Amino acid sequence: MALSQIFAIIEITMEITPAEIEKLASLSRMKISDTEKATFAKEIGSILNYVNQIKEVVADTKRSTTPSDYPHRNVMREDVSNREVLENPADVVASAPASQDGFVKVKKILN
Amino acid sequence: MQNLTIEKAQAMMNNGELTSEKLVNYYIENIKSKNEVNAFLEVFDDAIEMAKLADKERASSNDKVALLKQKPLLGIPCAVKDNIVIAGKISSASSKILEKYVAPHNAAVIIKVRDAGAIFIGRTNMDEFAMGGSTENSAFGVTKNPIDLTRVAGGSSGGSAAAVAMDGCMIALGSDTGGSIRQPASYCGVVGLKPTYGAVSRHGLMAMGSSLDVIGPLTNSVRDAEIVFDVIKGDEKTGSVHDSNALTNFEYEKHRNEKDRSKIKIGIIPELFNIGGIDEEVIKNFNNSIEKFKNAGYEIVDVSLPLLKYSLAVYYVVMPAEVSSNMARFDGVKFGSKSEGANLLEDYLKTRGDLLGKEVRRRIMLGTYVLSSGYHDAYYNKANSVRDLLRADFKKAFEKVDVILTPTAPSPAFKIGQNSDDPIKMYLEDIFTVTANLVGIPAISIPSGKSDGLPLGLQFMAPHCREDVLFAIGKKFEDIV
Repeated sequence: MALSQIFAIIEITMEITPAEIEKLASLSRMKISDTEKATFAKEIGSILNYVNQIKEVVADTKRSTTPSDYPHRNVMREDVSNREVLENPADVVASAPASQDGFVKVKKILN
Repeated sequence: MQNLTIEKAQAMMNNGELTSEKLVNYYIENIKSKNEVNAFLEVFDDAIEMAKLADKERASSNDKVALLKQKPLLGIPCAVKDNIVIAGKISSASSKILEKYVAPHNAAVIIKVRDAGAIFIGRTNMDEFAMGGSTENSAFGVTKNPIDLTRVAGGSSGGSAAAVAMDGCMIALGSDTGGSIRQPASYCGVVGLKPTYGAVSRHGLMAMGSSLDVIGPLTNSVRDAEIVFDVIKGDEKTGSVHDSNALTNFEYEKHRNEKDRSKIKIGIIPELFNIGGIDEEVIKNFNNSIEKFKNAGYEIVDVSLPLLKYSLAVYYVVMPAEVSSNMARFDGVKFGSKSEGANLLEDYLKTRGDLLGKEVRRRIMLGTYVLSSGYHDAYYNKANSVRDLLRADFKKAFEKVDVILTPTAPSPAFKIGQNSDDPIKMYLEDIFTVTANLVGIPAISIPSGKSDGLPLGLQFMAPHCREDVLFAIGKKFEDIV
């Protein structure tokens, strides 16, 4: 069976409204147009519908809080300065969109 | 010089048949004549200069064996995916937001590859911030498949795969979050290795899904992948997060010789083919490969991984969640470009709205959704729990077998534009590859023949830190395929 046939079978049941998309966009600090809102609503709805199948699996969502049970662990480097790997402050400032006198320049936050 | 491998090139350079300068010129000519492929975003103008230096170093050495032991990649042209930073060069991740961003430092792998003597020939095209499976999401145009220009090269490391396939470089670096090295390798007919999670430093790789991301090589042969992996593994200078099932790099070598690699037992997953949506030719090619292994005397064992069918769903919760968090740093303040607004909030909204592509914004919003209050438990926590169970399933399976085989992708390279209007169809191309990222194990895609002239790939997965098993069986497969 072709992939397109599989997805013709899957019904789009998950409803995401353009208003919800607007909320998500605002939380994510992104401006999106009205036409995009409609397509994003449809696409994100269909993705959520697909991922909903994980609900079929019986699994405890309370995970262990014992560090040795964690799937990942930190491996630390030696605590010594390494200029070759770590950044030169002047270059870091230069790579920001705006800078002045060796500082990253930002618009004022408080009025 | 066609499809040269590292050891052959080194032998030729040692006996004077070839120079690094000639090699670089050969690849640059190819890149120019195959400009239509759009594999490269930039060819570095200092590559020839660096090659001349490498040639000089070789010529002045009176112990070339010792020199190559220290610098196994001396004079070898290497392409770099554009999300791995090189100091003083633009690193755009194929995004408008970083179009003019000059990296202030080197990624840890760049230092290792450079110190091993490689020549950086250029930076390769990719899906924007590595989000995609076709390189169609690049802000700088799609990378075409060098074997058939009407088709995609795969993604997200499509530029790196195409570069190796079209002889635009000998080796390339890519990154793999859900299949982004292996799937384009399969589409372009080259070898692609996704190492164990944490085995290669991610320092200087632009983060996408931090619990999934790993850097790896794309090459012309399994042996080349092994040579590059041996150069890039380890993270002594940067520190990292490792898989708890993996060993640190200091224990790596000890672990490697533990097992007799001549008695490799191969696992296959019968239920895999019940998922549906797999191209008939892919199934035929896979069964052929299994037959070849049987004829070569390998034992083939069925393994059951009942949760495998949920991998892609788990991935599309965990990955966007991590994406939404990692992408927060692109705010028009710290890196690259910005779109001016009337105030700081408007700067954020316009910069991210205007300069991030559609797929990136879709994943950020999806991630924001699955992490938002009220849905966090149902999606993010649930996905992580299923991920834990999947890891346990694999651990059990690897008690029975040494490697598990699947096709790399459910189809050969598809037509450009074919899947663009349906994200889920596009995501399904990752169905066989995402699991290794969720579980943290190494996996390699090796060319397994062609269907109607289009390359197909066979994926081998091994337990944590057992890249050596992948290389051993991979070389065998190259001989019998």
